[in-house]
Amino acid sequence: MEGAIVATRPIGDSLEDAFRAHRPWLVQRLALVVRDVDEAEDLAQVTFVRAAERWPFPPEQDVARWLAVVGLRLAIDERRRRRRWGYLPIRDGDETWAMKVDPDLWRALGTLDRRTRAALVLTVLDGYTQDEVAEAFGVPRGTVSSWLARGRERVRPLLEVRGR
Amino acid sequence: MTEQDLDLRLRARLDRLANAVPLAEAAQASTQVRRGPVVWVRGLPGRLTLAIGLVATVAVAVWAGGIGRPPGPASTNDQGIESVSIDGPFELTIRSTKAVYEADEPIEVLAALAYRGAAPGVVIFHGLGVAGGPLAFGVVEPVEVPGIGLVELVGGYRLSCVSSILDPAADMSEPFAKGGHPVDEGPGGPSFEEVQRYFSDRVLRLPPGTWHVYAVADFSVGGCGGERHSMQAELTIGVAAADGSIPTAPPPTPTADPGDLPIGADTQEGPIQLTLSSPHRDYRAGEAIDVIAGLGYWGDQPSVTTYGSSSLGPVAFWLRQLDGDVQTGSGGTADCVSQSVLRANEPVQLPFSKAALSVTGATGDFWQGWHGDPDLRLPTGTWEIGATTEFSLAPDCSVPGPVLRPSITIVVLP
Repeated sequence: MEGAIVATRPIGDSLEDAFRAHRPWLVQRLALVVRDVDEAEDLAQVTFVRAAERWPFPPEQDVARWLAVVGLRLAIDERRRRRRWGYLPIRDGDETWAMKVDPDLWRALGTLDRRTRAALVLTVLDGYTQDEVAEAFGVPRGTVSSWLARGRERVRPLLEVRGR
Repeated sequence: MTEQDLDLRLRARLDRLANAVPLAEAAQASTQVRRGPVVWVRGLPGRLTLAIGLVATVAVAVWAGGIGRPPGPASTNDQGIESVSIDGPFELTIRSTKAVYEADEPIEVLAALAYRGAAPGVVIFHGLGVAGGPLAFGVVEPVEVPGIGLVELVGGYRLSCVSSILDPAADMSEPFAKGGHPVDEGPGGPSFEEVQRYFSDRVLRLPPGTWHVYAVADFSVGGCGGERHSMQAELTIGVAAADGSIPTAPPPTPTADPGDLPIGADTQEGPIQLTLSSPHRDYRAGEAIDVIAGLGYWGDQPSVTTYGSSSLGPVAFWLRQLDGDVQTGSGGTADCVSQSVLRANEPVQLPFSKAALSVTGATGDFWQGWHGDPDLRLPTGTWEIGATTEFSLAPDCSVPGPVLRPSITIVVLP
């Protein structure tokens, strides 16, 4: 997994070690996809419970990859989203953390659907290949290509104009 | 700008955004100690909402003046009412201090979950209701709220799974807590601040009318996804008008267009489940139609391998125009070449795919939205969109497996 934050971080063998090492980047990525830090925290928790049910992983298992795939699959799970629609969280809709850092990109990402944002995060930020993303989400490679093409076209004007 | 340059810039900016995400303190085991009847809650989320099970629930409504009797005038009623739902050793009780309230008087409703079994205690696994516990509350009828319009108060949970110990000596009780959403959430609807102000006010007030207020307890025993118990207890509460009468006319009905509501179909055979859903029923002509299938395995094995006759995977899509002649095949082939692994409890989400669909009865309008567009766009009309999974669990496809075929109806408006 090229460029993954966790790849260079030594961690112990326990689930607790894995939790400490992997939770931060997992929440960060989930927050970019679902655009809600609370929901991202929830999803990360659910993902780690799934991991706990399988722990210990075999040595050849790439823990970060497993977490990323399961977490992002959950993030685009339509049934889970529909359940959330019936509930209005009593809290501020706080996007200030994103608006302070890069409001243009945040808004542009908001025009994409979750699966496209997930594909962008996995490929552009974490270096997964399109084949790997296709396998992770159970869709043909061409579908991932079309998601990414759509996503890139949406952010291209932003990156070309501002170029920062 | 080349794609590589674009990706490099995008990566740098995504990285900055990711690093700005405000992270909460990492949850630890035994993170919360709750005072009162809920003895202990620890951070152990899971798949509560995906558990499948049926329970028999007995609901008993007890009115101060007799079972099922509607509330009388406000001046003659000052006694409490309660309703109990029983599910094995569990009891869910909802109580109100009065059967009839004045208009806009605070409605005092409390629900309690109790364990009446022989064990010294039982650990239940549940999502978090609005009040942070295993109980959720709602009102069957939409409520007219000044400044907001109609609000649907629905008992809902956040998708977490925490555990609580239910002690036979101490019921777990919570006052009514609001959760829900305005009926009109569109651009012309109420502002977020108005809605937040309403839901942040913990006091429930209702206009004159007859209201059905309920509490829900949805939990499992034996772990997240274990034996599920889903209980609901309901009260009928009257709110009197200024003249003391209680309007019997039905409260206003929601004005939400059913076409804006999510739709879905859910089919299951044994441990295999196939769902099909769309965020809403109605689409405009030219709008991309978002349809997603979910194929899940909920059995005891870590995973199963499916062997099927479609080279495109375990799920094939199809559509049929209900007010026209267009229909498609489902893109399957007659061999046994395709195999997929379904991991337990990790449903795979598959967006509608046009690949390999043969189309009959189509006109020019249809083809304009079909070729060269990865999204599904359909001409004006009513469309049945379906997904089919038909596979075998035997490598040579010799043993028939589940055949699931959920479908939903989409309306494409001009």
